[in-house]
Amino acid sequence: MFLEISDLKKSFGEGDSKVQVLKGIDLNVDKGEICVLLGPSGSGKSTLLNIIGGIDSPDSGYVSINGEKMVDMTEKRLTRYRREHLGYVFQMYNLIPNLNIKENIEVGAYLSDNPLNIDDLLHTLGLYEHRHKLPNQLSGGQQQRTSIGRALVKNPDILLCDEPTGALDYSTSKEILKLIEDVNRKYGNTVIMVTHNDAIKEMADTVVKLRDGKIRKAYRNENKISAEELDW
Amino acid sequence: MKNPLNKRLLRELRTEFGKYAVIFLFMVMTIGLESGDLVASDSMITTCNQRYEKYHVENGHFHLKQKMKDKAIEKIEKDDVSVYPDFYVERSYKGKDKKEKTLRIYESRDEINQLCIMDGSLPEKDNEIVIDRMFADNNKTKTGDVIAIDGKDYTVSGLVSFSDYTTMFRNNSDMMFDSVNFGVAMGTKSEFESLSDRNLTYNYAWTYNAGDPADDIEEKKWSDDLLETVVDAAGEGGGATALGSMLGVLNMDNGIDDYVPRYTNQAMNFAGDDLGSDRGSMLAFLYILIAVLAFIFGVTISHTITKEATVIGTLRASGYTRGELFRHYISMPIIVTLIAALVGNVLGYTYMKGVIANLYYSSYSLPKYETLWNQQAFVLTTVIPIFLMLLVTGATLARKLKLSPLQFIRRDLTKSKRKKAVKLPHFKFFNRFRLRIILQNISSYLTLIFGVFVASTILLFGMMFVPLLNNVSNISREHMVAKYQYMLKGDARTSNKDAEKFAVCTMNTYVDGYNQEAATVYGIFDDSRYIKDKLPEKGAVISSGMAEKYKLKDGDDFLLKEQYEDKLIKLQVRGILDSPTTIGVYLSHSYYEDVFDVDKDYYCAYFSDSEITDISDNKIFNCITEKDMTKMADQLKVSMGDMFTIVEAFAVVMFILVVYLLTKIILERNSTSISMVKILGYEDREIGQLYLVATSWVVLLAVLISFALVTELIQLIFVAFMKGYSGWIPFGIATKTYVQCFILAIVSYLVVAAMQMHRIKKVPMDEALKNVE
Repeated sequence: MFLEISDLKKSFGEGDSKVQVLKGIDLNVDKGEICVLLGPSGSGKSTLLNIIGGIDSPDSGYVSINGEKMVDMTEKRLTRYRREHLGYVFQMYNLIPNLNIKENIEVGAYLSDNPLNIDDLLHTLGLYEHRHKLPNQLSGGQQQRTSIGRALVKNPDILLCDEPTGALDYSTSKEILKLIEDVNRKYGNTVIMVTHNDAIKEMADTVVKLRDGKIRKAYRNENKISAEELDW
Repeated sequence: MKNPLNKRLLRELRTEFGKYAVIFLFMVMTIGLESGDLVASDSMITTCNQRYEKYHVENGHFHLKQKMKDKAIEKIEKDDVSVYPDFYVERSYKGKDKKEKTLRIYESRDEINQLCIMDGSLPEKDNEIVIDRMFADNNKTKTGDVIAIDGKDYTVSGLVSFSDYTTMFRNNSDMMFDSVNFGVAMGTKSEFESLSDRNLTYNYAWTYNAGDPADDIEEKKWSDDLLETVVDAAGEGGGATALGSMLGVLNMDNGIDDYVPRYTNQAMNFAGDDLGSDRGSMLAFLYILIAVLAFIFGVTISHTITKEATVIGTLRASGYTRGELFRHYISMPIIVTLIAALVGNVLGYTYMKGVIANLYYSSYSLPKYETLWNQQAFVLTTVIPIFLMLLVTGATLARKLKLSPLQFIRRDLTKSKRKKAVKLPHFKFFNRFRLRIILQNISSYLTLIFGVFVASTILLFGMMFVPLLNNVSNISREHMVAKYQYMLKGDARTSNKDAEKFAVCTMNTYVDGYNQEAATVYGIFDDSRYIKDKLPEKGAVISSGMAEKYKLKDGDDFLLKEQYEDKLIKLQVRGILDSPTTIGVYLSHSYYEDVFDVDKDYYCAYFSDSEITDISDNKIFNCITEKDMTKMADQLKVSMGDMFTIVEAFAVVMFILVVYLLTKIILERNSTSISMVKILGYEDREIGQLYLVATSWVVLLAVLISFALVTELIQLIFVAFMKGYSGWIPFGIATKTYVQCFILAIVSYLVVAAMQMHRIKKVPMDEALKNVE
């Protein structure tokens, strides 16, 4: 199994105000598949994503990728792990305001020994014409494409997307989802996407529904449809 | 692949050009000034030290009342020294400022104490004369000008630096040199003969045939040994008396008037000692300024990190290491410091060196100097500022970047757990709002207070001196014992009813085994008209200046040492006489008799409130008047006047810079809130009242607190500074100075406030509605 999560628990706060956010999560994801984590606010999906991404740590349980457990990693090793294997996309695009679009993508390429060709990627992202513009000259959708480009350019094993369409309108959201689907097909990255939009589950290989820190339902989606066909 | 983040640096520089330009220029100015000072002073020190050999400078000199016979010279020269007659006469003339000037005109000097020609040429005709360059500058005299001495016109053929007079000390015992009213000159040999009919001083210079002594201790030993031979030889050749006559310069009988080995010669050493003596304080000043700028950078970085928290979080989550981000964010301050240091050094070696050299040339009569490459100056003005910048900004950055990627993404930037809002008293809403702004920006405000403190220190330091020196002149005048003090060469009678006899000699203060400085010891007869305090039968009354300088109080013992002997005298303080600018010891005559073993009627000086006209000049050794008492303060004003102006300008620029940069950061940090209150309907004026008044409070408070603290600090610096000088200046900052500084600080602040008001007006209303990018 490529990604293995076992009995993952996590709580925040202390004493009376202690809240258990993850109450024992077990999950397996195969290499190259799209896994959608669904759930309402406070269900623990972002915390789970952050633990997978190595920017948060569990109280107990473990995450292992390709057989390597993250709990055993030092902070330095974790940074290296993120550098070599992970790409992150957030709801807010978090682009660097005084770098142009191409340079923002170069920020990701710098981290890899074998980055993808940036111009090719810009074409794939539909941003080639805008490559010399600054982020504030682009629409929200274009900015999110840039942030996906930044995450993808180092050709990560896993692309972690935290509500990537949360700040976008319907058609732009579909464009972004299509893009994620395209790059998954083209580059074969494993995609783990957190969303509270129930409709998105239709494009996933694996669907995991979380509520109150537990997996309520996890299944393989046998009737997967393309992002273009999604509707909500 | 190069780190693409580096591309931001140039853009950051472009968008924040104003900020970086101001910091850069300020740094260049400071480092340039410091580098120029180090280069100029070190080059001059080298020139000063090399002049001894280059211009064949004496190892010492002595004055005799009569010309020495050849036999006497031979006797002295048996001590392995060479003796050179170096006679001079003194003449007075009216300067362009209508004040009386004294010129000490030397016989043509070929072999000893040669001259460095700064402009023009040496005199060739009898009506030509060369004068000291600085005396000429101070009296607006140029080559080619004509000065009338004793009714004869002399053309100034050149301006020179006398290798044995880098400072114009008329007498070696003077508290301060006086290059405005006293200068040295040289004419032709034949002209000197015609001038030598009166006021001729038989000055003899000597050099050791074995070369210069290794240090002051060896020099003292050699010169002490030589003194005995000189006294002996002078006794044969010029009718001198015993060694006892060497007790000070004032109570001599026939024989030696003065004996000045090189190491005690103020005219020769004062400038050399002073050159570079301020190095420590100048460097401390530079480093404090760099620290202030580093703190400003620290606040800027802290602000940038807050602003870019989510970007940093994303980069860290993507795999950027702390080290990579640390290097990125620290690049700008380091690059700015590095370039400023390099440009500053270039400026130091070119323009500033000249500025500083001119400052030295306006104080001292130094020979021409050659600029020398100064490796240490480069390290002190480049490596250390960069290190300081790295230390301060690095510490801020390291602390900030310690947070986890998740904390950055969530903008959870305080390491401690979320604090509750500080509970404020029930002030009016606007005042509570302002307090919140101060609390929110506490690190910016603390840096601002630190910067204002440093700027106030410099400002007050620059502005206090002229009033202080004026005050010193007034105090000196007010506390003069008598309008005239005549020091006699021997017994001299007068019919002047104001005249009152007293005994006097010069001793050295002696603390911790070292000679300190000359103190005048008076022996006052009973019922003195001029010293009204009752003097004790035993023990001494000392001047308040001496008490303050040496921290002496009633009942304390202190030591005095005879100037050219090892004999020590222990005296007890039995009272303090109000004379804040002098180092004086007052004894009853009967006690003076016991201490110095002199006769009951012995006297060698007169106090008088009117000029004594019935004693011939050749019986008077010296006359101290009001002009002599204010000489120190007047000379300091002349030689340091330009420096004070530079310091004041520097302080104002620094004040504006610190306040401007930090208020700018505070406003930028609050731009969203400012935009929001604009949307709510607040007017620019009201927003200004909220955001700028908060800063005004802090600035006002910082200035006032600074004044209190700075006064203490300056007093410490001043006292340490004055302890290195002869005499004493009582410390005090005039109320007027505080008022002037305060007004200057507030006006500077208002300039900044006006600029920031403009900034507030420019904040767009959609700022609050924009997303992060």
